[in-house]
Amino acid sequence: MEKNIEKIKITLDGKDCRVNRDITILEAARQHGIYIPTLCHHPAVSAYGGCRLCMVEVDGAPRLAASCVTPVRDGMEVVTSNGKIIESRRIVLEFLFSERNHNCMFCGQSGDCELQNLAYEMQMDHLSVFSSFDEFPIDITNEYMALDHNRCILCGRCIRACREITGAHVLDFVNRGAKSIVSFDLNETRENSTCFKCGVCMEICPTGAIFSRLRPYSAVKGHDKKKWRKIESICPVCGMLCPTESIVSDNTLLKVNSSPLGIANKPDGGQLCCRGRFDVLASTEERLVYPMMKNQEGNWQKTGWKEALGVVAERFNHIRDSQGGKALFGIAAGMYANENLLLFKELMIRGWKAGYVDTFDGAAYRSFLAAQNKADVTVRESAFDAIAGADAIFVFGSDCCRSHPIIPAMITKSVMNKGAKAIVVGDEEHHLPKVHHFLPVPEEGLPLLASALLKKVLDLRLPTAETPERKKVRESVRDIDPVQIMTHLGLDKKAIITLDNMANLFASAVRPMIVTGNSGVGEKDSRRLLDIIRLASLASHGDALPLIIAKPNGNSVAAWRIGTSSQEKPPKGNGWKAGFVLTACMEDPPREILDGFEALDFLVVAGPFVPKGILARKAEILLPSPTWMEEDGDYASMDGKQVVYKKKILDAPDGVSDCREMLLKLAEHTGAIFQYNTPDEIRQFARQRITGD
Amino acid sequence: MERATIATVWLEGCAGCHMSFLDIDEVLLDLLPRIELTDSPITDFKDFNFRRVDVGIIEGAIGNNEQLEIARRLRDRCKILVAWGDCAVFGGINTLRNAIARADVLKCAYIDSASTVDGIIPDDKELPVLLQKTVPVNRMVEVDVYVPGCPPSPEAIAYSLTEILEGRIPVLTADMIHFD
Repeated sequence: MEKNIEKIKITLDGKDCRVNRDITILEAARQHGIYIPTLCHHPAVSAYGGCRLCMVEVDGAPRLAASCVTPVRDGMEVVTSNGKIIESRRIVLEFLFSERNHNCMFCGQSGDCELQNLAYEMQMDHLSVFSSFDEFPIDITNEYMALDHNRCILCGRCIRACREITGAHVLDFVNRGAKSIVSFDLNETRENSTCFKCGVCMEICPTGAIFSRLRPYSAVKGHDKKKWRKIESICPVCGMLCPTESIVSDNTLLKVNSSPLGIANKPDGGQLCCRGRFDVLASTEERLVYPMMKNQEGNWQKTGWKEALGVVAERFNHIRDSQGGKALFGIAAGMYANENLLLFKELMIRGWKAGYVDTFDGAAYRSFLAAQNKADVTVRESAFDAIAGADAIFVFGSDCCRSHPIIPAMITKSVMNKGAKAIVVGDEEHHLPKVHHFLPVPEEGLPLLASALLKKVLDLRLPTAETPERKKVRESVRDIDPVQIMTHLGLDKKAIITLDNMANLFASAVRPMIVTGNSGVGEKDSRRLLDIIRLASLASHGDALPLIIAKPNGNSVAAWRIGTSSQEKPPKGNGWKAGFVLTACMEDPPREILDGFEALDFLVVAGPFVPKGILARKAEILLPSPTWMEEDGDYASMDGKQVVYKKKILDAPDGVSDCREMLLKLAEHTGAIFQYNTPDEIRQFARQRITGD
Repeated sequence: MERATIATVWLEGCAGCHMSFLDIDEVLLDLLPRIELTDSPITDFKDFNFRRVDVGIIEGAIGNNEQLEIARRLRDRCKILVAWGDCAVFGGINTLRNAIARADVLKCAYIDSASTVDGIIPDDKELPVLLQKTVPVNRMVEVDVYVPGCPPSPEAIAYSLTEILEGRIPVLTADMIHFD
């Protein structure tokens, strides 16, 4: 038997219990179903012993002990509740309430507060110690979260979460005694600090001190919280597929939580970023809730589903039959689930023989393909958890840190906890508090700088053997002059030294990792990717390149592999007569597609929101579809390693039809026969396309 | 049985607690034959000299010298003093002004408020004077029964009154306590 699972005997409230030797009294009590109230304790962070609510009596000693920090000992006799203990807890609770201004009646967290719950539970119906009513500051600099020091009990949970869960350590105490407050950096505001607004402090705060400015006051009066439903799902916003726990009441989303307890194989252990936590709550776009058709005067009119779909099918069928499918095109958002992307492509290509089908992020796909072909390698990216194992992480272009905020969070954790080095080439908004080397380069300068860095690295003596492939790479950068590039980019001599240092670090790192964006801005993006792929291949080990490419949309990888995204650019002088746009947000279609818009006879726009701009002007028919929250479905992770099923979180508003049902109904009109029809068949078919099994 | 005499007052509060009292539905029918409301904003009998009563009830916090005087007098004339609602129990929303100097509080209300044109701060000697801070009732006089809530639920009010009539000093159960 291993030593660490050796059991000892303790007595909890007169009951003999066998427990592991290395745990605390609190853990032992919880394992044996004995309740001890806590506030500063949270299983996701280290023990602190600060709030003194978990006091218990040990071996009859006159002084009570904090159970969350007292280890068990063989033969220990613990009493978790008696008159003295209850009196002690109650007075502690009164002190916590009277220390600052806890006015539940106008606190947005009321009804969803651990401090309040304990007061109710301990029947604290008044305070016998009085508040000073001293006022403390409030930080409302961030648009999503506020910090009200008046409601802080200084339990330090947020500080430990910020340090231990996110690795950022932005929060800590400043000042002393009764004037102590939780501070960002050194007395900075949240907005001006190095905080990247992941919101874990807010989620873990046991009071209303750190609260969401989106849907506060959502817990209704008294004890009505029972109506809340918790739905475990995933966030498909950026493709990292972080696990979420959505709180829903009466089909209204109240908040999105992460998994503070951590899930080992998920990005950043199951944390969320500001986008995953707040984006859906902050959305204010106007919903499209019934099919609409433009009448002869060009005004929008409400219509029925049957009529709307009938008109769409008739017009598309007619153009297909009279002018051929070449006159038709379709474009879908890369945010949709696999099922929608697959059905959309099949409807357009098999049903209507459309000449061109693409996704909004198709350009990014094509720039990636172009770079891959030119580099003459099959790009196998690393899984995103490889960031945790890297000792030098090169961020090439700060755009990926903004589109995928969990990436800087993961890098920061490696930097702070493991001493990894973060290197950034790009603009200053990279959200990394501690950067080893930084080169300020605008987005258009990235391809040149990638070449310069590649050249510099190749000029060094590399630890791995020279291969024919490397010779080819050497050949490709033979004429590159890094100094000339740096001068061209307006960088000084110091920057040239930084570039040398970066190259040295890349060559000497045991496990370097490159993280880059994939903005899809055509040729430039492709050139950036090309030299980065070449650079990564110099440090390749195993079958994956030390490279992570942040994709532009949540389900880009699925759209690429299913083939909804086109490998070809839209044809010039396309001669399109009708088009079908499946949008997910208010974004305009890419410019390449818009070229053909003015000549269109007929345009259908399907999506959750009322379109604006050119889509609204040119569309003849609008078809409402659910948001991703209102639909279940499969999503492929950004690294393409897995396909994850996302549960439905909310019901779509009345009148909004299931998107897949809509596409299947249209397919029926086209006369095409699909080999799959049930949700399961569609899902399986899409899965095979993505993972190949 | 002789009717229990009850006096209620409304200090720095919004009358919500009294509304909640009227909202106790059928329990009111059971209670009414057993009590006599001597002075109360509900009956509009406002003689703050209070004859001796069995139960005194205070809604609202104590924020000026008149309220303090009424609270002291009621405490003096009743056997059991009950604090109704968050304002009486904790100070409530009125305590928001505690961070602001008294002169600024008056200026804010009588001069700077959005709906005021050419405002003046009333200074008649008859008017009560603001205390330094608005405080819960038990900061100034001893309270026997606390019924927090904003307002307290009708159930909590009915329960606490019934218990008092039965001769017990009630402590609300966890499910009856709420601060919002």
